[in-house]
Amino acid sequence: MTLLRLFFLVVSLNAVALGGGGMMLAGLERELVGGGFITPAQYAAGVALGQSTPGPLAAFTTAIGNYALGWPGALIATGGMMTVSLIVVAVIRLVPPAWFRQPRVQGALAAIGPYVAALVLFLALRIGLSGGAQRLVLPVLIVAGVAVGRLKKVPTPALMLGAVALGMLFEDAW
Amino acid sequence: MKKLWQIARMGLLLGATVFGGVAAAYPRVRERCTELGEITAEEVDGLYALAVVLPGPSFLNLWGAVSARTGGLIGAVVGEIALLLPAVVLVLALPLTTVIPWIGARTEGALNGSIYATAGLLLATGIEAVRKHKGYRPWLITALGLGALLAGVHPVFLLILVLGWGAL
Repeated sequence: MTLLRLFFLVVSLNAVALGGGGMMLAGLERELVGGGFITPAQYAAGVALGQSTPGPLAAFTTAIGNYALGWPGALIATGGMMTVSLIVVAVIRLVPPAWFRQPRVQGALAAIGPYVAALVLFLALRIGLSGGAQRLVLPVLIVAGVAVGRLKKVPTPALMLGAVALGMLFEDAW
Repeated sequence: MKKLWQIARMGLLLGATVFGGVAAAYPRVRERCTELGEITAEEVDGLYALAVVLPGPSFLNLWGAVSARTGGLIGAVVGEIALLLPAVVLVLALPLTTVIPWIGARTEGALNGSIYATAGLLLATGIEAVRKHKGYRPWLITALGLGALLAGVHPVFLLILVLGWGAL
């Protein structure tokens, strides 16, 4: 695997990944784990890092690039992801702002809120249950505790740090 | 120059404090986007829809599009770099944790803790969003949407259906 090949791999997978960067996970696994460039454990750790770092979920691309080719791989993979996004942004810029103010478009956009609600509840279930049913106590405590804390307006960084500390203290519980 | 600095500052703030992707904190992201000026909340909704249905990471697409509206294509580049910077720094700094053996040995526990915390944040965002629903239609969209996603319907296909329903 060379840096150039990694760049084009990330670009090509992102270019066909509709619905967010997560849709390119299977392609990365096929190409990088299947090609023997990273181990399945490194791939799993990269995906976990993407979910646990702040910012876009697609940060797993950076982590997997890091496992494949060190820090240059991390930066190149990030650059590949940005390249596709910047092309998309250039396309979006062609849409005139007045278009968003048309009655039919506004009616359609009013449905975004309920859609996002369904999507986040689905993601919460998927991530919350990703550990399987064997060890449920600590994950359920963290998920419920953070959710209640967030609803009570506890700052997000404090909740994240608390969860990380709990995870480290009860390492054997996972 | 002032606008680019504002884009970078806000991008860094979002990149460092939003866990679980754009959907996890969409109301907050929407608020931040409108703070940049030159863009309304309805336009942010529209850009979000486009960011999801077009290829690439949705958060990056949305923030890039909002930054471009304020600072042109250079603004988009600055905004996307700022958004990604905290995650990139964390990923690159992770091997440093092995310097302290106690922490190095517990990296997996820390990762698991933060993953489940992300699930908790998503759950809270979902509950907050559902609480704001007025009338039966938003409830119906959320309930049917959740059911469809659990049944394996692709999020983009679902979004197109939902937008079509809203337009009618």
